[in-house]
Amino acid sequence: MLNQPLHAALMSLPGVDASRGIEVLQCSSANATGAIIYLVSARTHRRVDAVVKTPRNPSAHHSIAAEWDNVTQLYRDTNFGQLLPAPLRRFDLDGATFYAYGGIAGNTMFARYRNRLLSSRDRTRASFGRQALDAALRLHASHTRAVSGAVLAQDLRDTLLMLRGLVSDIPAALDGHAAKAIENLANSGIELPVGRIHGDFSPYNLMTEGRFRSGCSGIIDWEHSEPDRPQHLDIFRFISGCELMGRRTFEGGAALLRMSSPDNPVANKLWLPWLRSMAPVHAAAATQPAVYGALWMHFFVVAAYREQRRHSNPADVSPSTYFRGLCELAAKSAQPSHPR
Amino acid sequence: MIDKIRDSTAASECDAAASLLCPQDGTRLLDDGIQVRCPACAQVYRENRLDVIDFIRDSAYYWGEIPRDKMEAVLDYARQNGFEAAIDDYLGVHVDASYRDSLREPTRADWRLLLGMDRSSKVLDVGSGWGRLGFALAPSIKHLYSLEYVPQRLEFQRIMREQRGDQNITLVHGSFLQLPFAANALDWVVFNGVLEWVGLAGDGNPRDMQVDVLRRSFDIVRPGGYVAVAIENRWGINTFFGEIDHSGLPFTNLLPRRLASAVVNRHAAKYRNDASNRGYRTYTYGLNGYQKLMREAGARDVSVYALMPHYNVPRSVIPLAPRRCSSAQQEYALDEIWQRASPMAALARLGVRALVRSGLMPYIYPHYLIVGRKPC
Repeated sequence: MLNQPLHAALMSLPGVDASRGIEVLQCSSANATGAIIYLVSARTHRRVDAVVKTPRNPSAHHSIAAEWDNVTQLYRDTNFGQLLPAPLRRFDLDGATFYAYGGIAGNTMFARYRNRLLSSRDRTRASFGRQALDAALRLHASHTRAVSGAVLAQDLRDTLLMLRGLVSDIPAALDGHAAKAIENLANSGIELPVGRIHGDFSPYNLMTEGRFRSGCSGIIDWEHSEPDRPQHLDIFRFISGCELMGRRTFEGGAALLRMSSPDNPVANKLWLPWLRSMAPVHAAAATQPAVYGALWMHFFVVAAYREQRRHSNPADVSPSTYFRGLCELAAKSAQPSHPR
Repeated sequence: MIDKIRDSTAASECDAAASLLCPQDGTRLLDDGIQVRCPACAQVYRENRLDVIDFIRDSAYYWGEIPRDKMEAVLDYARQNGFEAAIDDYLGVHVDASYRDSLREPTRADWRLLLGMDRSSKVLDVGSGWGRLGFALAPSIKHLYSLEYVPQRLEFQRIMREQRGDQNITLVHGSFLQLPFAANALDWVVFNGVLEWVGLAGDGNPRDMQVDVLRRSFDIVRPGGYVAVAIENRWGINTFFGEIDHSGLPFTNLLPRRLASAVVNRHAAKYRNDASNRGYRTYTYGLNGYQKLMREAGARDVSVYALMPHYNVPRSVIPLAPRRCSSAQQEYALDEIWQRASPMAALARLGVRALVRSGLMPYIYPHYLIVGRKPC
């Protein structure tokens, strides 16, 4: 490695056996966080010992520092801290800050998904849903409280308002759908958990050592984690991520409808068991079609807002955005339904 | 204090010009803050502080991925609406969306940290094109010299420099055949997708011309400095599947040079711009060939990395020489880049994994970054 100061810093990371030298592989992220990522492993074995991130442009806004703060705080939690990458060290070199984490065994679920040969798409996704349930319950149970449907309705209303601040031309039909969802949530009488969420709880960030394991080996990319948000957003994020992964073409509203289809294998393996654990008293009410549809609308609006906020230029937003899907749904007056 | 700052700015400007030599008599150029001129022959190479330093003075030549008229339209749009808008809006809509995406690629200069380019580095980007690599490097280095032969491309860089307000970029209209820099003046010389075209700039043996250009590059970097070349692999796996070579035809890189010349003479004599260039002249090499080329040009230590998926989109930087990274790391890097999910893709991935484990993959990665170090 030509950068000797960086090489020396990586050699001295805790947990890296540098006695016979190290290997450093650079993998850059091309997404909004703009991280340059180094995978460090000792030459004595095949696993990754450390993952080191640094912002591509140290002077620009980036979320890598926020991730470090989240991980260092949450790693101490005895219940789900093991799911996080161990924060090893933060160090500065030539004006850039580097954040080093311990490696996590296995691959992302998406990597497992795209490398599958014999297993069907639905069976693979269902097994991911089962594995994600364990991680979601451990994470969400750590810090949670129940809030009424009215609070969720208010959250949907607020997010819609913020989305309107970013996108001026929200179709009237979408407004109508959102108003209906707000009304349904406010009158539902349900109580759902609010607390710590991962924020990007998707198959791209959940690590697994195989389809037949009972749980995940870890969760990565904690920059979007928040301490006090509706926790069903994580569950719906996972279901939607499973639906969208591997799709080559933009399907818009059709994909959004499939996420909430009665036949969605992930929803049945994840949403219903999660609901029975986290809100057993209100599970039946939350599975009513009107309430379930309203909860999905809540998720779609939150996801659309996040995508729009990440891309200041609307032209940057990829074709598979939630906002465009929502607009398509609104134009067709279609509504999500509930899994059987 | 203000005097000190003024002195240091002036010194920096003088320093930037002092690295340049008059092509006519080899004298170090002087920068008085407005003009850049040769103190010996009094030739003026820059009239205005915001202009480029012009060693060519011939604006007739043009080459580009897009036609000249569209390039001129892009420049007009950039002047009026900003260079970002020219790339994002104009290029994507009116020219070519995929070319726009390649220019917008954010990872292009990410290897600078791994290679140790830092805030004390003076870097020359040879054949800098639209300036996307050099301008990505500029905030992290001391000074960038951006050398380009096509005036329209350099004009785009001038607009970009003006609109970004960069203070540490010197734009040079010059040729890679005559790098007009003083000996030992720079820390890095970078060729990003350039070395393969050197043979088109003259009539000599293309390999000899490439060695000469590299040798000249080693002359102008300080002892212990580096010359980096990002380029295609002659034996890249993609070319076996029919990817177009620099000749404009598929498979010519795989043929013996004489046979390739015969094919090019028959089918692609006017590829690029110069009908006088007969035969196959855009030489690329394999993993060992590039290391040999670098050593012949004066490098002592040579490091080679695979840049995946392309040297303009270097999402992964995989060390191959002097010490190759393990097959596990290579598999991971390739797996992360190739995101397509389908049974066929999964099968192809199994094939690539077999190539990695067999030890063959380092020789057939499509793109390399070769870094040679000048002896101290």
